[in-house]
Amino acid sequence: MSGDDANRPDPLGRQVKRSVLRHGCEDTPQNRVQAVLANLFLHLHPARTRRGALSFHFTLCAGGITFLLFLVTVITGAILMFHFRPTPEQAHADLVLLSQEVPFGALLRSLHRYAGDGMVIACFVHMVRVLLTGSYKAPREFNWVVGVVLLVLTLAIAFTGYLLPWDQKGYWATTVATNMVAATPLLGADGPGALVGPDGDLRAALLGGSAVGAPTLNRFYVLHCIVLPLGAAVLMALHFWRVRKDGFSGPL
Amino acid sequence: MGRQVKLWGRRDFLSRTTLWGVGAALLGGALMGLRTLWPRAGRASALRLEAGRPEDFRVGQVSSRLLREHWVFVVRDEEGFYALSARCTHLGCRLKHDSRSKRFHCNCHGSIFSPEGAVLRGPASRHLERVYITLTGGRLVVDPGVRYRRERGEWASPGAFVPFSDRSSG
Repeated sequence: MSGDDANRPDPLGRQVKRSVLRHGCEDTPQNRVQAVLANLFLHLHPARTRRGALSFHFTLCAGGITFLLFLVTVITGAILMFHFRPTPEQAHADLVLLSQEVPFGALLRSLHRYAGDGMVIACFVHMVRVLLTGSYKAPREFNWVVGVVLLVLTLAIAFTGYLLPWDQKGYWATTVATNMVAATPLLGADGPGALVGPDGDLRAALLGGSAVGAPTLNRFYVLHCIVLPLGAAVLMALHFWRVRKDGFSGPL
Repeated sequence: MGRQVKLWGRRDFLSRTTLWGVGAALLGGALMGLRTLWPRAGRASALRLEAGRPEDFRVGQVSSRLLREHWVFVVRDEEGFYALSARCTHLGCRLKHDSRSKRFHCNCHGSIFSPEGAVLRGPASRHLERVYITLTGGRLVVDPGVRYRRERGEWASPGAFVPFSDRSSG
């Protein structure tokens, strides 16, 4: 700010603007940097980057598309939660009601479903791209590991969401998958070196009983809506921040 | 202080005990939170499910009356009765009885079992489990919580089979 401005009495509007933005609005290189650095959401980005690193041919935008689809599922999912009760009596009926009676309900549900499926696909595209461009190599090994955990979380979110419609396909898919969990080493009752019986293993904890039932639906709902997305969001913040700190691997 | 070597000063003691204390409390809380996910009790008390009167079964008949609620088939053969668990030994889907072929089919991955419970087609690799069956007061009673596995020779156990013939009833 110039000296003249500093001497003038500060109008309220200007003070409010300053207290929110914390930097001036003139188009100067410093303000451009400040606009990114002083913003909670943008500060994960680098303030400046090489043009080549952002080339679509290099990144395929797959990581960005994954994040965009995550945002779509979060927003549509939050609206869906207003219309859904996770009990065996109500879950499927609520879904039918949503698809047939709620205005734009079918659109909402389709957006959530296809964005979720798309997120899984985009994850794999992103991973293959990172593999092929060698972007997992030093100094980015740790971010690759974070990315693998994010992939697992994405698959877990997709898996827990599959049961929620409480239809035949979701029910039996969950039966099959939780039986596979029983084959986990040490903590699964049918796994190698099992330490626990069928009442105390990982499968029992996931199901909340000995077969898919009301407790399972409730558990998967909480995992799908809170636990797993929250974990994914924290790791995504770390993932993006590390991209910035480790630097882009793109061509000069 | 001087040149005396002190392993732990007062401040070290306070900060380390605080750190370890807070750490232990957090870990304990996390473990307690995890523990809530497992139900406390083991198996519930013995179930006694009525499976019908033995005279009402023809030889070779398979009853699906306990299938939906309890995942059990009750089967009558020439010598008597046995109860088969309807849980596929591959990945745990519920079997269906195909009355035409007299076999048990799994809709999930296509395993097929004989009327005796033996694997006829994979991907299942184990025979079906039999469950406890007995005859009391002229009625068949089943407890799906007690299981018998053929590969352990348990199908010969007393609870795995109820001898019965129409002559003995008449």
